[in-house]
Amino acid sequence: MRCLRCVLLLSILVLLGTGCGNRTELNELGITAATGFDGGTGDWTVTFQIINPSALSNSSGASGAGGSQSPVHTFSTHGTTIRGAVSVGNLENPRRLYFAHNNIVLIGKKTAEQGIEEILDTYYRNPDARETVRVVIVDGEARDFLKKLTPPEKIPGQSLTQILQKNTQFGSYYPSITIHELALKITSDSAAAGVPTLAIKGEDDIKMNSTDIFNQTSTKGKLKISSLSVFRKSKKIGEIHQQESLGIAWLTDQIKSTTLSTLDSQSRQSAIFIRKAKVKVSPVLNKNNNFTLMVNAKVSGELLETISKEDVTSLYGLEKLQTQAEELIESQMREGWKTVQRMNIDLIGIADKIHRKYPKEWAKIKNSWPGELANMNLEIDVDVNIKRVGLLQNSFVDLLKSE
Amino acid sequence: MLGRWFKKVFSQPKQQSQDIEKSKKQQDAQSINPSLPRTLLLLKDQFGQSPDFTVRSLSGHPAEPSGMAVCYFAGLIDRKLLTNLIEGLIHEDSDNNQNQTNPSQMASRLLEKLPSGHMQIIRNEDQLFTEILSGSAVIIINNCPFALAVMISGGARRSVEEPSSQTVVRGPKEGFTEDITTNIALVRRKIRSPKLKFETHDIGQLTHTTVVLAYIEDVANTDVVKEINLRLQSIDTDSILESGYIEEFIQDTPLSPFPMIIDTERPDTVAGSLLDGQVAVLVDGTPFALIAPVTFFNFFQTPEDYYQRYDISTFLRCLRLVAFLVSLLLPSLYIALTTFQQEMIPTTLLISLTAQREGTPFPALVEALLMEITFEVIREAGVRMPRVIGPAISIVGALVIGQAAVEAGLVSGAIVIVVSFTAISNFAIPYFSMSSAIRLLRFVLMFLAGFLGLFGILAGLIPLLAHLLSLKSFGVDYFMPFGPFFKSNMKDLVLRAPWWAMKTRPHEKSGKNRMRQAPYQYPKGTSNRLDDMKESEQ
Repeated sequence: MRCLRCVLLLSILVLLGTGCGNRTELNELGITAATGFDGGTGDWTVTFQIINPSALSNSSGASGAGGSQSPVHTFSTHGTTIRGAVSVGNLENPRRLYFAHNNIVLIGKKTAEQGIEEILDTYYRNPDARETVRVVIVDGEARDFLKKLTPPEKIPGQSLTQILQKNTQFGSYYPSITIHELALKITSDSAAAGVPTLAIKGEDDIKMNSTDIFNQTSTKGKLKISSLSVFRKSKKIGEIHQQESLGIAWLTDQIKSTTLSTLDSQSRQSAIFIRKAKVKVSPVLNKNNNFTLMVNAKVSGELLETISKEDVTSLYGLEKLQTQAEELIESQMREGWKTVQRMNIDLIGIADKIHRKYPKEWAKIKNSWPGELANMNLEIDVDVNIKRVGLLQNSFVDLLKSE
Repeated sequence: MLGRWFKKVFSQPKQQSQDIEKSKKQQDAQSINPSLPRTLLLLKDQFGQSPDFTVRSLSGHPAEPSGMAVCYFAGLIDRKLLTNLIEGLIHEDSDNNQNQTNPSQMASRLLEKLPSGHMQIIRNEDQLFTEILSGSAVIIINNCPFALAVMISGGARRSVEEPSSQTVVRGPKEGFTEDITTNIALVRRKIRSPKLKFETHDIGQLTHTTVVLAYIEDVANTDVVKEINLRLQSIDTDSILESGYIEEFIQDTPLSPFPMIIDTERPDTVAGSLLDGQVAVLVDGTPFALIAPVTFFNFFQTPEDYYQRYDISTFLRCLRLVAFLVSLLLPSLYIALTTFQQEMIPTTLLISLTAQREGTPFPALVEALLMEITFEVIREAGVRMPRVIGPAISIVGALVIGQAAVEAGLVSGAIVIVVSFTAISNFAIPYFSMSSAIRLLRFVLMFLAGFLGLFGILAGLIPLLAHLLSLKSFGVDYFMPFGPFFKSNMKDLVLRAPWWAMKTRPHEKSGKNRMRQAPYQYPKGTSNRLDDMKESEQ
């Protein structure tokens, strides 16, 4: 009986003891806000942006003087492999690198051009690195970008994530992409993906590396999404600009909401806010054994501003505005399509659609795939529905004239 | 194994209990000696030294053939009633002297003519002692083989006041007192039906406490009544001072931390429970009555739920269940999330938590334990201390826990919020016995969370739920309307349906009479009728 009791006690202690080893107190965590990758095979430089919690808190309990401290601390490590570089992090960092709250990965331009296979591999192999983090390519070295502070936000990593997210949500110019989506896209049949690119706009300001920047109302330099990097397989092959990117966003049904600035025949502008867009892209095999891309878009939005003379209260006037918007959307889509054909890369993911819909035909054109794109036709059908015109009925321009 | 060990420690061998049963019955009652002086001697022998034991002789010398004496304890009787009684006796005595009847006839005449309500013939000595001790005046007549006990008990008693432990905003404000006859009357006044039954038990070899079982015939489950009667009868102990003694003797699964019996200070709660088919046990000398059988969810219902609007009651019940979960889980969740599953905390919160924990010396588990124990001590001190120094405790508590500990860098600010919210939530549970059970379990879960994180909490909660589901209170499943599932009971669980919709009593708890009221009582309002009346007036 006593022996049994001892065994029981021991087993409880052993069970509980094992759990204890896994424990990490909050003040042992180095919460990583952003990670950057530079270099390439054989020589990796990994940069970590670690949050300095006491600088961010207002509580009197924590050691005060939060304002003067830098909200983040950035350091880089080198290694022949990525994880090798991560593991030497503790030679200079007193805290456990903690990646669960890291939601942005910066990849240097050169690295992106050389290939990002190893980065993807690391993210899929390790449970502490989440493949749901957003990816961004930087125009330069990731380690330099991670040192920049981005007022008014305190934590640059979070701020960049927010920029990506808000852009996707409200502008849809450069849809953000996560590691997982990126991996899915470049391993699919079309083998192409677009990743937003971050650049320093304006003068590269040395102050951006110091908390002094928070004392300024305007900074000379700014971190900004400037273009979309285009990946074929794991390598970056080029960049496209905003209008092209928007067109591709339309064709890939990634428009969440955006604002269209339409022009009427007298070059009078109106702004239409797109609230809902549903774009269906389907390849259709025509008689000449060529594929035609049928694009069918159903868009609904509301009128935000106008100086056009159309009577927005009448169906006729509204119709006109809608037609203008439809034409604009179509031209944007054409712009995107032109880019696809120019770069000869399937950013829209038609290959998968063909593969699924016409498996036999796909087998035939598989080897010559990206080349086939040039032969494809595009048929666009856009239907815009303006649901609200706002509180004002006639445009203000009209009102003043009629007086 | 642990359970077996507990049983071994806590239960007594069977043989022993049989011996006790024998000892209970061996004392044969000795009948009263007809000689008055001898009886008086016997009484003096038993109580003689107590200053409150009084013997009043009537009709001259006790040894005279028509001698008569009244014995009582001065503190246990009502003086007014005693005066009345003695007046009556003197009056009878003078009649007696004229008629010269024999003592037995005299006793029967007294039985008929004395102006006292509660009279009883006593034939043996044991009964004699008990009656005197329980506040009767005993009339002993020389040469008569029996004595007369007149129940005139009285003396200092607390009046009916507002219950201190279970207060309501709306509802009756009367609470039970220490006197069982008052308590019975309080219940009787609420249920004026001959179907309301009381069964009396006399428990405790030394205390001879009156324990009364109350139920409503047909409404209560007869099996439960039988079972409780049986369990009450089998109690063989020296003393019953409070209903807590009874509770521990009769409840099922005594090793479970969960209370299986509700204790209440409120006559309306008792009446309501009786009408639901439950059974109440009233114990003399305590304002707390017991209610059984109960289910887990009964502990989250207050009498007030039934007095205010059903929608508000429903909301409050939901709130109480949330408070229950918070009180049970919040500190352990805090520990688990901050030491194991940091990824589950939103980034901004994580940063501010980290900033608060920056300078603190202890792990989260120790920190939480420290604060929880501090709070428990303050709470216990608050109950035990003299009322006069009450404010001192709250000042020390607020300053020490709320501020000084954080400022001194002993603990982080977040844990103060966690502990205080947990404590406040704990007070939202209406029954003290349940909230104490949760307090205990909270510590277990905190340890599990500290060692294994969320996995540990789950590893604690699953057995806990299994345990709750396995419990039974007097044959009724503790988790009743959920496991086993009864749709009809859902009307009065988390939801409190309006009264007109609650047609039946709770399932399984009640007996054969299950209908509470006539169906289809949806209030149609009187507006149409009033309109009609107005029209006809015009």
